[in-house]
Amino acid sequence: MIEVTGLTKRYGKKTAVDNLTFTIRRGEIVGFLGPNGAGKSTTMNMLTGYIAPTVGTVYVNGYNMMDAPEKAKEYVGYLPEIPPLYMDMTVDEYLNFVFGLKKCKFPRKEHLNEICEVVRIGHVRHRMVRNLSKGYRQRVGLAQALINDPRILILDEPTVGLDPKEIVEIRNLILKLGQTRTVILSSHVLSEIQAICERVIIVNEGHLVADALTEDLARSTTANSRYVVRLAAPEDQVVPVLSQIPGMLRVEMKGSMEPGTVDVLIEAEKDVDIRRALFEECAKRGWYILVITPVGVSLEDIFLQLVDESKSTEPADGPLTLDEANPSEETKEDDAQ
Amino acid sequence: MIAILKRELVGFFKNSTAYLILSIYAFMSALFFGLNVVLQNTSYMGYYFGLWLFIVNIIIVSVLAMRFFSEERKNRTDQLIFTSPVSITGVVLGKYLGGMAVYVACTLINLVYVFIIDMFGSPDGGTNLANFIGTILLGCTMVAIALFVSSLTENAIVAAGGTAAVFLLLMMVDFVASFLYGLLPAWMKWFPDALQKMNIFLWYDNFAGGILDLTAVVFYLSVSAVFLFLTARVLERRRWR
Repeated sequence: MIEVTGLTKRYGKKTAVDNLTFTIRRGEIVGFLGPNGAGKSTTMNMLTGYIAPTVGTVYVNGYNMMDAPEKAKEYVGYLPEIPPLYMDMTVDEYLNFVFGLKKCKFPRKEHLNEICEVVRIGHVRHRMVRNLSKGYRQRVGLAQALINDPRILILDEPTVGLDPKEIVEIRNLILKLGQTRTVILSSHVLSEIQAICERVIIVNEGHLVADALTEDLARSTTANSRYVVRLAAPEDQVVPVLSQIPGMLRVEMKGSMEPGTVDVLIEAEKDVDIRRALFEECAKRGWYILVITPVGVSLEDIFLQLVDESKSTEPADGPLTLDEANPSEETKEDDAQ
Repeated sequence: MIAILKRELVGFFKNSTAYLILSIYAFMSALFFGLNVVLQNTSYMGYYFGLWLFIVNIIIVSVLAMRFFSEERKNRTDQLIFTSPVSITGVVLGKYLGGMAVYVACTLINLVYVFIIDMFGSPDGGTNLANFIGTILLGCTMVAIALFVSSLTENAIVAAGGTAAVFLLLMMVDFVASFLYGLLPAWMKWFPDALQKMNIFLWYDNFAGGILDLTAVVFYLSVSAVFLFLTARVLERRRWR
């Protein structure tokens, strides 16, 4: 659906985006993640044809964005970070203008009604854009991006500046839209990417740092499995006993949260299911396991880890790729053999 | 292109820009008509369609320049336009025709003065028609130049000031050419001659006298086309910077 090869953008001596290469397939919801100034918006602007790359190509559904921009843009709906709204128009006038601008062929009235229903702006259609709240402006911006019924929806920081309720609503809306479209969502809010996207592309200082499925990324960058365990056991024996379990790397007292119990953080080697051995050891000693809570690694941890790594390693090491994070069946079979 | 043209017209008439321009034009043209025709006790409107009207044109076209591209860039609405499946030529022409529509609406105010002359005297139909055509052609060129200047900046005030400055410089070219003509040797006279030809207002002289000057028609249309082309190039080049 989108093929990006060697995408580079230089502003004078400053390289904003450096040699990005990735492919986004039909129906994927991809998060484009990076700290502020990482080159996310510049990349989005190149993907949508707003600016031209210094080097590299962008193909949208087989059309080169530089050679056949009008054709390529037909497949794309774009909501920039600041929604491109005309404050002196009503919502209805604005949507009618965009309908004409994007040369839509649908029955105008029915199509606009449908779009307004999807983004839930039907009741503000006759209001001036300048009088709308930030949340509604964002929705109108989203409606504008949807008007040509694009196969690809590119959203640049769509929830910035919204209140928590609006954020949840916009996220749900994006998830709903993602059922029938390819969605590229840029954000520096990690939880947002984790909540919405199945795949994440991480950039830092214009470089590609990682490109992987969100869950595989968490798995591949997490060395060990960690749990917080609440035990009814003698406090002074817990650490020495649990530390003896094969595969256990760390046992750390976390204190007592309820009378007669202790909470411990345990960390075991990757691929070792420490829970069975833990159960057997506790049963042998007559200790009770009251709670086992897995301690997940958040995307935030991964992100910081990857960004730190990208700063300390040479670019020649290359980014974490989709194939590395999510080995194909063939590779898995090879590994098994 | 049609969508952009409609948007321009809505933009001009929804906020006060078009009304401001029409008011300025109506007030100043009435003033100059009174001074150059009524008080001179003549039905000849050639004087009215001269220097005084150029000044009104410079003011209104400079105000028009504020809205073209500068405002779009400032409000980031250019992101919508340039990521939509529309060619840059279409965008430039849409904006240009929107500006021309407001300009032509202004020039129609002059018809009122023709009717007034018709009521109290006998207007020279040929002269007036030539002047109307000349005014529109001059406007074509002025709006194209304003569009070009507007494409260079995102500051609306700079766009307006820059446009006015360009027109005033073009007017002053005439004086510079006259000055150089006296200084330069005979074999260099081509230079002030060429310089003088750059003054877009000078090409209006024959229209003011009631002559439909085809050379001037070609000149105005060519200069307009050149500036529209340059505007498209500036917009295209910005994508590459």
